[in-house]
Amino acid sequence: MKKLIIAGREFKSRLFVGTGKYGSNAEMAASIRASGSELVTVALRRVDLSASAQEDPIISHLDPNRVVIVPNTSGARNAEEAVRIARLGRAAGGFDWVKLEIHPDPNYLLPDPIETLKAAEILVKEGFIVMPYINADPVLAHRLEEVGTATVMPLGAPIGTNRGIRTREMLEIIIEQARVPVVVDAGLGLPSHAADAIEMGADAVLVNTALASAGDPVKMGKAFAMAVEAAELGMEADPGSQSRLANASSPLTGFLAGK
Amino acid sequence: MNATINGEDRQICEASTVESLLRDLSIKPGNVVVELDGIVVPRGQFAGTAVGDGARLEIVEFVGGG
Repeated sequence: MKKLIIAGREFKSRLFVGTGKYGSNAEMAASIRASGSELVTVALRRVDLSASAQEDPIISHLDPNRVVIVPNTSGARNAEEAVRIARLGRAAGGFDWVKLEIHPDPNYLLPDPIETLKAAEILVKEGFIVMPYINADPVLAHRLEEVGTATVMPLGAPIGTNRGIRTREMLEIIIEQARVPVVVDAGLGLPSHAADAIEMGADAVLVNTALASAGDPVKMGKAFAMAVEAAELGMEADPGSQSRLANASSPLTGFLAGK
Repeated sequence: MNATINGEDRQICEASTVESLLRDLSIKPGNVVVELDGIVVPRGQFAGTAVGDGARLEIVEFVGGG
Protein backbone atom coordinates (compact mmCIF):
# COMPACT_ATOMS: atom_id res chain seq x y z
CA MET A 1 0.00 0.00 0.00
CA LYS A 2 0.99 3.60 -0.54
CA LYS A 3 2.69 5.17 2.47
CA LEU A 4 0.31 6.99 4.77
CA ILE A 5 1.37 10.62 4.86
CA ILE A 6 -0.82 13.35 6.35
CA ALA A 7 0.36 16.95 6.28
CA GLY A 8 3.90 15.76 5.57
CA ARG A 9 4.02 13.33 8.47
CA GLU A 10 4.35 9.63 7.81
CA PHE A 11 2.34 7.19 9.91
CA LYS A 12 3.54 3.60 10.20
CA SER A 13 0.28 2.52 11.82
CA ARG A 14 -3.01 2.90 9.99
CA LEU A 15 -4.91 2.69 13.27
CA PHE A 16 -5.92 5.97 14.90
CA VAL A 17 -7.61 5.95 18.29
CA GLY A 18 -9.72 8.13 20.54
CA THR A 19 -9.27 8.62 24.27
CA GLY A 20 -12.89 8.78 25.46
CA LYS A 21 -14.95 6.49 27.67
CA TYR A 22 -12.10 4.52 29.25
CA GLY A 23 -12.37 3.41 32.87
CA SER A 24 -9.22 5.33 33.78
CA ASN A 25 -6.42 7.30 32.19
CA ALA A 26 -4.01 4.45 32.95
CA GLU A 27 -6.24 1.99 31.08
CA MET A 28 -6.54 4.41 28.18
CA ALA A 29 -2.78 4.85 27.97
CA ALA A 30 -2.19 1.09 28.09
CA SER A 31 -4.78 0.44 25.38
CA ILE A 32 -3.23 3.07 23.12
CA ARG A 33 0.23 1.62 23.65
CA ALA A 34 -1.08 -1.83 22.75
CA SER A 35 -2.76 -0.44 19.63
CA GLY A 36 0.53 1.00 18.35
CA SER A 37 -1.38 4.07 17.21
CA GLU A 38 0.52 7.23 16.34
CA LEU A 39 -2.49 9.54 16.21
CA VAL A 40 -4.91 10.06 19.06
CA THR A 41 -7.89 12.36 19.46
CA VAL A 42 -8.88 14.30 22.56
CA ALA A 43 -11.83 16.57 23.38
CA LEU A 44 -12.18 19.94 25.09
CA ARG A 45 -14.72 20.55 27.84
CA ARG A 46 -15.61 23.31 30.27
CA VAL A 47 -13.85 22.83 33.59
CA ASP A 48 -16.30 21.72 36.28
CA LEU A 49 -16.18 24.66 38.70
CA SER A 50 -17.90 22.70 41.46
CA ALA A 51 -15.38 19.84 41.40
CA SER A 52 -13.21 20.02 44.50
CA ALA A 53 -10.12 18.53 42.94
CA GLN A 54 -9.19 18.45 39.28
CA GLU A 55 -8.47 15.15 37.67
CA ASP A 56 -5.08 14.32 36.36
CA PRO A 57 -4.94 16.05 32.95
CA ILE A 58 -5.35 13.57 30.14
CA ILE A 59 -2.58 15.12 28.08
CA SER A 60 -0.01 14.10 30.70
CA HIS A 61 -0.80 10.46 29.83
CA LEU A 62 0.02 10.93 26.16
CA ASP A 63 3.55 11.11 24.82
CA PRO A 64 3.72 13.82 22.12
CA ASN A 65 6.94 12.27 20.83
CA ARG A 66 5.10 9.06 20.00
CA VAL A 67 1.65 10.26 19.01
CA VAL A 68 0.13 13.21 17.19
CA ILE A 69 -2.49 14.70 19.48
CA VAL A 70 -5.56 15.86 17.60
CA PRO A 71 -8.18 17.85 19.51
CA ASN A 72 -11.70 17.37 18.21
CA THR A 73 -14.51 19.90 18.07
CA SER A 74 -17.06 17.63 19.68
CA GLY A 75 -19.88 19.59 21.26
CA ALA A 76 -19.94 22.17 18.47
CA ARG A 77 -23.40 22.65 16.97
CA ASN A 78 -22.34 24.90 14.10
CA ALA A 79 -19.30 26.19 12.22
CA GLU A 80 -18.76 29.16 14.51
CA GLU A 81 -18.58 26.99 17.63
CA ALA A 82 -16.30 24.49 15.92
CA VAL A 83 -13.87 27.24 14.93
CA ARG A 84 -13.87 28.57 18.50
CA ILE A 85 -13.17 25.12 19.93
CA ALA A 86 -10.37 24.53 17.43
CA ARG A 87 -8.74 27.82 18.41
CA LEU A 88 -9.01 26.91 22.09
CA GLY A 89 -7.37 23.56 21.35
CA ARG A 90 -4.54 25.28 19.57
CA ALA A 91 -4.07 27.73 22.43
CA ALA A 92 -4.18 24.92 24.99
CA GLY A 93 -1.50 22.71 23.61
CA GLY A 94 -0.17 24.31 20.46
CA PHE A 95 -1.97 21.67 18.43
CA ASP A 96 -2.48 22.58 14.78
CA TRP A 97 -4.30 19.36 14.00
CA VAL A 98 -8.04 19.30 14.45
CA LYS A 99 -10.69 16.65 14.03
CA LEU A 100 -13.58 18.72 12.79
CA GLU A 101 -16.87 17.26 13.99
CA ILE A 102 -20.18 19.07 14.07
CA HIS A 103 -23.10 16.85 14.97
CA PRO A 104 -26.06 18.66 16.46
CA ASP A 105 -28.39 15.65 16.12
CA PRO A 106 -28.39 13.89 19.52
CA ASN A 107 -29.77 10.53 18.40
CA TYR A 108 -27.45 9.52 15.62
CA LEU A 109 -24.71 12.13 16.01
CA LEU A 110 -24.68 12.54 12.25
CA PRO A 111 -22.36 15.28 11.05
CA ASP A 112 -23.83 18.47 9.59
CA PRO A 113 -22.30 18.73 6.11
CA ILE A 114 -22.99 22.43 5.53
CA GLU A 115 -21.55 23.64 8.82
CA THR A 116 -18.62 21.23 8.43
CA LEU A 117 -17.69 22.63 5.02
CA LYS A 118 -18.03 26.21 6.31
CA ALA A 119 -15.81 25.53 9.32
CA ALA A 120 -13.27 23.62 7.23
CA GLU A 121 -12.77 26.60 4.94
CA ILE A 122 -12.08 28.92 7.87
CA LEU A 123 -9.80 26.51 9.72
CA VAL A 124 -7.72 25.68 6.63
CA LYS A 125 -7.17 29.41 6.08
CA GLU A 126 -6.03 29.73 9.69
CA GLY A 127 -3.40 27.08 9.08
CA PHE A 128 -5.03 24.13 10.81
CA ILE A 129 -4.50 20.58 9.61
CA VAL A 130 -8.16 19.70 9.25
CA MET A 131 -9.52 16.16 9.49
CA PRO A 132 -13.28 16.42 8.94
CA TYR A 133 -15.71 13.79 10.23
CA ILE A 134 -18.40 13.38 7.57
CA ASN A 135 -21.14 11.14 6.39
CA ALA A 136 -20.07 8.87 3.56
CA ASP A 137 -20.91 11.47 0.91
CA PRO A 138 -18.52 11.47 -2.07
CA VAL A 139 -19.55 14.96 -3.20
CA LEU A 140 -18.95 16.47 0.23
CA ALA A 141 -15.64 14.61 0.48
CA HIS A 142 -14.61 16.18 -2.81
CA ARG A 143 -15.69 19.67 -1.72
CA LEU A 144 -13.71 19.36 1.52
CA GLU A 145 -10.66 18.20 -0.37
CA GLU A 146 -11.01 21.26 -2.61
CA VAL A 147 -10.96 23.64 0.36
CA GLY A 148 -7.78 21.97 1.56
CA THR A 149 -8.58 19.47 4.30
CA ALA A 150 -5.74 17.06 5.10
CA THR A 151 -7.99 13.98 5.05
CA VAL A 152 -11.62 13.05 4.83
CA MET A 153 -13.11 10.88 7.56
CA PRO A 154 -16.36 9.26 6.47
CA LEU A 155 -18.32 7.21 8.98
CA GLY A 156 -18.78 3.46 8.74
CA ALA A 157 -21.83 3.61 11.03
CA PRO A 158 -23.03 6.15 13.62
CA ILE A 159 -20.57 6.98 16.42
CA GLY A 160 -20.23 4.39 19.14
CA THR A 161 -22.51 1.81 17.53
CA ASN A 162 -19.86 -0.89 16.92
CA ARG A 163 -21.82 -2.00 13.84
CA GLY A 164 -19.10 -2.06 11.21
CA ILE A 165 -19.25 -0.68 7.68
CA ARG A 166 -22.83 0.16 6.76
CA THR A 167 -21.96 2.82 4.20
CA ARG A 168 -20.08 0.53 1.86
CA GLU A 169 -21.28 1.69 -1.56
CA MET A 170 -20.63 5.38 -0.95
CA LEU A 171 -17.39 4.66 0.89
CA GLU A 172 -16.12 2.80 -2.17
CA ILE A 173 -16.75 5.88 -4.30
CA ILE A 174 -14.99 8.16 -1.80
CA ILE A 175 -11.98 5.83 -1.72
CA GLU A 176 -11.93 5.63 -5.51
CA GLN A 177 -12.02 9.40 -5.99
CA ALA A 178 -10.17 10.91 -3.02
CA ARG A 179 -6.76 12.46 -3.47
CA VAL A 180 -6.29 12.92 0.29
CA PRO A 181 -6.11 10.03 2.77
CA VAL A 182 -9.49 8.47 3.61
CA VAL A 183 -9.88 7.58 7.28
CA VAL A 184 -12.93 5.48 8.10
CA ASP A 185 -14.12 6.94 11.37
CA ALA A 186 -16.91 5.82 13.65
CA GLY A 187 -18.98 2.71 13.98
CA LEU A 188 -16.22 0.11 13.72
CA GLY A 189 -16.62 -2.37 16.58
CA LEU A 190 -14.56 -5.43 15.73
CA PRO A 191 -11.05 -6.00 14.44
CA SER A 192 -12.60 -7.51 11.30
CA HIS A 193 -14.44 -4.22 10.65
CA ALA A 194 -11.13 -2.37 10.66
CA ALA A 195 -9.58 -4.97 8.37
CA ASP A 196 -12.60 -4.63 6.10
CA ALA A 197 -12.03 -0.88 5.76
CA ILE A 198 -8.34 -1.31 4.92
CA GLU A 199 -9.16 -4.08 2.42
CA MET A 200 -11.65 -1.71 0.77
CA GLY A 201 -8.72 0.62 0.21
CA ALA A 202 -9.17 3.08 3.09
CA ASP A 203 -5.89 4.62 4.19
CA ALA A 204 -6.60 4.35 7.91
CA VAL A 205 -9.32 3.82 10.51
CA LEU A 206 -10.17 5.70 13.68
CA VAL A 207 -11.74 3.84 16.61
CA ASN A 208 -12.59 4.74 20.18
CA THR A 209 -15.69 2.97 21.52
CA ALA A 210 -14.54 -0.39 20.13
CA LEU A 211 -11.52 -0.29 22.42
CA ALA A 212 -12.90 1.63 25.38
CA SER A 213 -16.11 -0.39 25.67
CA ALA A 214 -14.40 -3.78 25.36
CA GLY A 215 -14.07 -5.87 28.48
CA ASP A 216 -10.32 -5.78 27.99
CA PRO A 217 -9.37 -2.55 26.19
CA VAL A 218 -5.67 -3.43 26.13
CA LYS A 219 -6.25 -6.76 24.43
CA MET A 220 -8.69 -5.11 22.02
CA GLY A 221 -6.10 -2.45 21.19
CA LYS A 222 -3.67 -5.19 20.25
CA ALA A 223 -6.37 -7.06 18.29
CA PHE A 224 -7.17 -3.99 16.19
CA ALA A 225 -3.48 -3.38 15.56
CA MET A 226 -3.07 -6.94 14.30
CA ALA A 227 -6.19 -6.77 12.14
CA VAL A 228 -5.13 -3.53 10.48
CA GLU A 229 -1.63 -4.84 9.92
CA ALA A 230 -2.93 -8.12 8.52
CA ALA A 231 -5.26 -6.31 6.13
CA GLU A 232 -2.44 -4.04 5.00
CA LEU A 233 -0.09 -6.99 4.44
CA GLY A 234 -2.83 -8.84 2.58
CA MET A 235 -3.39 -5.89 0.26
CA GLU A 236 0.33 -5.63 -0.39
CA ALA A 237 0.32 -9.33 -1.27
CA ASP A 238 -1.97 -8.49 -4.21
CA PRO A 239 -5.05 -10.66 -3.59
CA GLY A 240 -6.25 -13.00 -6.34
CA SER A 241 -9.31 -12.02 -8.31
CA GLN A 242 -12.85 -13.03 -7.38
CA SER A 243 -15.04 -15.09 -9.65
CA ARG A 244 -18.63 -16.27 -9.63
CA LEU A 245 -17.88 -19.87 -10.60
CA ALA A 246 -15.70 -22.22 -8.60
CA ASN A 247 -12.05 -22.65 -9.52
CA ALA A 248 -10.62 -25.92 -8.29
CA SER A 249 -7.66 -25.77 -5.99
CA SER A 250 -6.89 -29.44 -6.49
CA PRO A 251 -6.45 -31.29 -9.80
CA LEU A 252 -9.77 -32.83 -10.91
CA THR A 253 -8.45 -35.09 -13.64
CA GLY A 254 -5.98 -37.94 -13.97
CA PHE A 255 -7.28 -39.97 -11.08
CA LEU A 256 -9.99 -42.61 -10.46
CA ALA A 257 -12.31 -41.39 -13.22
CA GLY A 258 -9.50 -40.96 -15.76
CA LYS A 259 -8.89 -43.42 -18.59
CA MET B 1 -18.11 42.54 40.64
CA ASN B 2 -19.76 39.88 38.55
CA ALA B 3 -18.59 37.66 35.75
CA THR B 4 -20.08 34.79 33.80
CA ILE B 5 -17.77 31.82 34.08
CA ASN B 6 -18.59 28.70 32.04
CA GLY B 7 -22.15 29.91 31.81
CA GLU B 8 -22.55 30.50 35.57
CA ASP B 9 -22.97 33.96 37.08
CA ARG B 10 -20.33 34.43 39.74
CA GLN B 11 -19.10 37.13 42.12
CA ILE B 12 -15.43 37.85 41.59
CA CYS B 13 -12.91 39.93 43.53
CA GLU B 14 -12.16 43.52 42.56
CA ALA B 15 -9.04 43.90 40.41
CA SER B 16 -9.09 40.27 39.32
CA THR B 17 -6.76 38.98 36.68
CA VAL B 18 -7.14 35.67 34.87
CA GLU B 19 -4.37 34.31 37.10
CA SER B 20 -5.95 35.42 40.39
CA LEU B 21 -9.35 34.19 39.28
CA LEU B 22 -8.02 30.71 38.52
CA ARG B 23 -6.32 30.68 41.92
CA ASP B 24 -9.59 31.67 43.62
CA LEU B 25 -11.32 28.81 41.78
CA SER B 26 -8.52 26.34 42.74
CA ILE B 27 -7.77 25.66 39.08
CA LYS B 28 -4.21 24.91 38.02
CA PRO B 29 -3.37 27.37 35.22
CA GLY B 30 -1.16 24.86 33.42
CA ASN B 31 -4.07 22.56 32.63
CA VAL B 32 -6.59 24.95 31.17
CA VAL B 33 -7.31 27.34 28.33
CA VAL B 34 -9.15 30.57 29.01
CA GLU B 35 -11.31 32.53 26.63
CA LEU B 36 -12.17 36.05 27.81
CA ASP B 37 -15.07 37.74 26.01
CA GLY B 38 -14.60 35.42 23.05
CA ILE B 39 -10.83 35.86 22.70
CA VAL B 40 -8.32 33.20 23.74
CA VAL B 41 -5.89 34.45 26.41
CA PRO B 42 -2.39 32.99 25.91
CA ARG B 43 -1.16 31.24 29.06
CA GLY B 44 1.77 33.64 29.37
CA GLN B 45 -0.64 36.54 29.67
CA PHE B 46 -2.84 35.19 32.49
CA ALA B 47 -1.17 37.39 35.12
CA GLY B 48 -1.37 40.54 33.06
CA THR B 49 -4.93 40.18 31.82
CA ALA B 50 -7.53 42.04 33.88
CA VAL B 51 -11.03 40.61 34.26
CA GLY B 52 -13.55 43.43 34.28
CA ASP B 53 -17.09 43.63 35.63
CA GLY B 54 -19.49 41.71 33.41
CA ALA B 55 -16.73 39.69 31.74
CA ARG B 56 -17.61 36.41 30.11
CA LEU B 57 -15.07 33.65 30.62
CA GLU B 58 -14.77 30.14 29.34
CA ILE B 59 -12.32 27.92 31.16
CA VAL B 60 -11.78 24.64 29.35
CA GLU B 61 -9.54 21.60 29.62
CA PHE B 62 -8.72 18.50 27.59
CA VAL B 63 -10.69 15.37 28.33
CA GLY B 64 -10.99 12.00 26.64
CA GLY B 65 -12.75 12.04 23.29
CA GLY B 66 -13.04 10.16 20.02
